[in-house]
Amino acid sequence: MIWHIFKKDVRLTWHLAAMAAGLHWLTAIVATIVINNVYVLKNPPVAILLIGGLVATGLVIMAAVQQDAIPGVSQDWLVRPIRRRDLILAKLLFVVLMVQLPNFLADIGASLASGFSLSVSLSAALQHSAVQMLIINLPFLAFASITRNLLDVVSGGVIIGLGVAIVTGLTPASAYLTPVWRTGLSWILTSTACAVLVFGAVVVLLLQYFHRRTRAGRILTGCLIALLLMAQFMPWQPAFAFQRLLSSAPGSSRDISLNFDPSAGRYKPPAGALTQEDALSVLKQNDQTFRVYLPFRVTGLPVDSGVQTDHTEVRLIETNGRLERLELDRWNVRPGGTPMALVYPKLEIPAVLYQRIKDQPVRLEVDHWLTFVRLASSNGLPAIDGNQQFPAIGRCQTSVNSGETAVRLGCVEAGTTPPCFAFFLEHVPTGSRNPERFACGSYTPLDTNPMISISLTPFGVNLTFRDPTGLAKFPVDGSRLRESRVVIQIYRVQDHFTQKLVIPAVRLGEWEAERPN
Amino acid sequence: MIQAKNLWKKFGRFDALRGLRFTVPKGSAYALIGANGAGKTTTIKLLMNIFEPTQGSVDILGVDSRRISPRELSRIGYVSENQNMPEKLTVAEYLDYLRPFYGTWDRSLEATILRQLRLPPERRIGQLSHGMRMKMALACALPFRPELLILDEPFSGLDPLVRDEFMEQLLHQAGEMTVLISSHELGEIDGVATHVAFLDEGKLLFEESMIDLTSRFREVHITTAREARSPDRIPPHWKDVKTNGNVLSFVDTQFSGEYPDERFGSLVGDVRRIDAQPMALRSIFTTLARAARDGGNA
Repeated sequence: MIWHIFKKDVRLTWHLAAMAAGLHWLTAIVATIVINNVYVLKNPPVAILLIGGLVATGLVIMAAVQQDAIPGVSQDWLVRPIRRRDLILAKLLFVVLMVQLPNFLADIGASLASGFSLSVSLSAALQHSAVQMLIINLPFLAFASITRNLLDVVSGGVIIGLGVAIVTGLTPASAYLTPVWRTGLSWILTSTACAVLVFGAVVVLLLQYFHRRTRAGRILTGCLIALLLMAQFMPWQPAFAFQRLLSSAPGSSRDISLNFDPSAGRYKPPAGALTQEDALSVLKQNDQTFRVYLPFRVTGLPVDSGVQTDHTEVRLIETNGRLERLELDRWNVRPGGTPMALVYPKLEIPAVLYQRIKDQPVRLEVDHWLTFVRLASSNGLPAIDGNQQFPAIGRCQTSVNSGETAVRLGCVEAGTTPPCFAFFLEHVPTGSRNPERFACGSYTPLDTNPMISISLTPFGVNLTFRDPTGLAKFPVDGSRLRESRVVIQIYRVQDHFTQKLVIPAVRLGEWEAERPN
Repeated sequence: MIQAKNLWKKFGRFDALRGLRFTVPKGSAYALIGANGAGKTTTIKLLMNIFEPTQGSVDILGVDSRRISPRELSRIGYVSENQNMPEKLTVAEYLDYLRPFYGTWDRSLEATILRQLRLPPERRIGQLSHGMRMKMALACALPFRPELLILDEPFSGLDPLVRDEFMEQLLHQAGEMTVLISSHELGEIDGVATHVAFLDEGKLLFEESMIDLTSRFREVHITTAREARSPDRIPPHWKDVKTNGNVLSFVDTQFSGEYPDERFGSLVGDVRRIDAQPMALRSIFTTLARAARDGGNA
């Protein structure tokens, strides 16, 4: 009877399903063909299509489930010899065939159109589809099962939205409160939240379809949302300990050490490394906070490696024993030909505190949680009009931006992207390079964004070669672009480790940045 | 067919049903009578496992209502005034949808019922009038020849013509079927029900077969030689005892044939004439309800 119920639902909701599928196809077409997958999420029309597709998916699922609504006492199906198991399976079948399948096909189409092979496209689309089913459509199904009609959906949505907005609004953006958020480990947080979501959705569905416990289902839904919101407060230590278990080369970071090196002098934004605008922002102090830049020297680094800070905790102890907790900007470093590197992480200090202690010696204790990465591969493509596909990176294209100040690199990969990249412009005949951009994303073993209706993962970077003010000079400037290439280096995670740095006495006033040249 | 054992249902602090006990015999047409809010629909929803009892239980087709499965549901026809059928499907589409769920569905019977109820197969359910919807619900409940047909206020809001058509079809198809029908209107079940139960504020005031009920109730007028007076000790089965001149009137709830004069002589004096008339169903109910509310037995 599963197929029979499914056919009835299709008959009643096919127009909505067609609309949702149309939106997904349109998104795939626009993202793939019109804007070449570059900056998909930052492109307003695509973002609108993505949100529209998501809303339409929700509406289709709600409509299908509410054909045989669980809450209420007057539904005809309640008095018919319909097995509850058949009913829930019919709804799942509906989601798979009427929601997932069109998305899956759009996904494969987008992937093939972007130049990926059928096997790569299939694999990426399958992974994306499975994740999307679990963490979007299954919760939609569960939510639909505790609602009777569109009014219920809207009311529930408003209540949930308000709750989320209030909790989010009341939560200050602080690394102490949400230490895992926006780090390479945030996948642990999102995966935990997703696991809770999936588990909760399954429980709600079972409660509803096999016991018709709508009140319990609604209470559970509320608790789940609260739990999801609480997930952002996941403490750092257990998350890092878990991540450490996943290190591919445990102990490989044992030679790396971190020291405070006052002999390196004050931070001075290097010419050409940043635009003048960036450089000036270094000096910008406001009424609330002051910034100082402490010279940290990282030693024991292999040449083809890098270190990414995931989290820091700074304790500032005044001479009278008073303790203040501060936040140090996350930093990363790669050695430039020698096994050591210098880095100036930014320390923000509240103005009142800074005025009091800037000329006094204070003790600083800095706990670092770090990730050690090593170069896995290096690839290059022409700086102008390059269009190439690379293993593990995907298809990349280069172009000069409209202001003719930077080379825009846009890549799209079918599925997972590596955790860390370095990008730089290199003049091929001379080997001279512009300062690189090094960044680590997520260390997740499963990197697919279910909120995007296609499985392609877009990423990119702007590599500056000209400062319109003329103050910053770049080794690879506009005149050398034709003979230059964009180098994309992939770094793989080797190990996660901790370092504690103690500076017994430092006058922070001595470590404000110098003016740039 | 149905047996309710100390059935309670609470909604928050409100007791919708209070210790209901009743039995619907196989082959009967059992009428559940009561005013709006008496608990008739709640009782039926408990039978169908739409609600769960707070306390007690009810067996339906030999199964506890909480364990009712598609197997039992395929033997039960259900018609309710508040039945939500898919409004966007046409009459024919919905019957097509329901057919495979019932192994005993009779297509020729379905066609006959549709024709007799004059239901337009191509019309969407959402476009049917209330009366037509009730007919539609009946058309969905009969073609599989259910063993038990449950009708929850089936006549509510129906005009007399539609009601007659509905009843005609129902009686025509009833056969061996057990029927449980709830209504707040006595006239609707008169001539149909074989058994009747009266529900008031969640309590079952009485249940009895219609034959027993009508045969044991008599409106009695005793004419005496002198001015009538109420007996010092009124027998408990006398209800609504009144006097008017030399006439003593009451409702006898235990009439068993004839009244010998000497039976009343000791109670009311010199009896000249005894007049015992069968009572209309409505009058019986009024008497019973009044007696039950006053805390007595009937």
